[in-house]
Amino acid sequence: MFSDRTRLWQTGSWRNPMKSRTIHLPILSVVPGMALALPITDHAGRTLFAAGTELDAEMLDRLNKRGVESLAAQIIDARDTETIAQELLAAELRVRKIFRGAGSPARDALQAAILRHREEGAR
Amino acid sequence: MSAPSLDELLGHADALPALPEIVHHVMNSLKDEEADVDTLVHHINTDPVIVSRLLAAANASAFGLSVRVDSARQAFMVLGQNRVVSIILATALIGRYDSPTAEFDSRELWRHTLGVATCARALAERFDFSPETAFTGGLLHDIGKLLMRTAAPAAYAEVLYLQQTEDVPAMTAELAVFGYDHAAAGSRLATTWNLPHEIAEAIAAHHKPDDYSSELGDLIHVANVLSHALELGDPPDKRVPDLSERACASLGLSWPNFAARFGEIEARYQGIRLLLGI
Repeated sequence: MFSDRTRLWQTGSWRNPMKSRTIHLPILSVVPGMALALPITDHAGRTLFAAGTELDAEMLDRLNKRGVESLAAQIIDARDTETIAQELLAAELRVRKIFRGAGSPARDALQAAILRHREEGAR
Repeated sequence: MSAPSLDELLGHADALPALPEIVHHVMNSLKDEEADVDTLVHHINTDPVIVSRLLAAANASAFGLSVRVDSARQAFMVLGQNRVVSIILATALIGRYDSPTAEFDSRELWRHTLGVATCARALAERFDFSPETAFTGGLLHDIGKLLMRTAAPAAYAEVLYLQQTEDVPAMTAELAVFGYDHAAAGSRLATTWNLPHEIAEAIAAHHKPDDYSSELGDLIHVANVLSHALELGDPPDKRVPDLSERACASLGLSWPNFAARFGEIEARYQGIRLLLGI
């Protein structure tokens, strides 16, 4: 706990607790005013909207009509470090529980990928 | 109490409503490069349940900007082909085979199959398969469970009891009670329904892909395990099944690379559930 606080203070995050985090949302759940956490590209890899773009209703309508089903949005992260630590621990226990029992090396590799994904989601 | 043999079970296939014509039309039009939107819209218009679901989905996607959508053709323009096909197939299947009972929650089964279908589509996009065939294979992969439960409810209640008390996979419990599993039953049903051979084979292969030589079977197998791992529509604490080393290698799959799409897959799954209202 103490070391977490020290690290946050050193990175400056402690002084600015209103950090942001990335969440993936179905396009129907995106609210105008949300900002993109990751760029949106077309099939040819051309950037349609850059990361950081604030989306309005017209942009969302255009993306929806282009068949974009989901996007990564930036939201304010109001959680304190203790809550984040609890969520990280819960995520690890959950992954261990559903991957109980022995499996192939491919299943082990999937478990490692899911654990990293859950940790990134909880951070 | 004795469970029916596989042939006897197939004799009860009429216990399930016939596969709607629209599913065959969609699958044929996806294979036919000449097929156009008008032909598909013509077939959609013969099924009022699907038309109303498409209109509801298109109007829900309006962000308060677009004019009201009141035809299947307009819905096509608003939603795009991928989502229209997903909604048609899922509505056609879920709407007709949705009969929850105290022992067996078919909504839970459909939420799981939507999860597998979403993973299958994402894998297909990455590994150059037909996304729609993969989505359909995902939706139908557990259809054998529905037939076994509908045609032999008492025997299937025994399967569910065994699964819960022994913490064993469904197919182990099915083999113990029926002498065959839902993959075999589903594959035979798909053949009876005249679905494409690759889908029937993929259904047969989805738990034991190494016993078959089915590329789509490899993909549906991986999609099924991934869907369990991401807990898309799973009952709580369901164990992630084993994953074939060979199927992953055959697809050229690297989990550290593909993991970048996990968040997108979860969001797309939530999106299709929102559109379908399940």
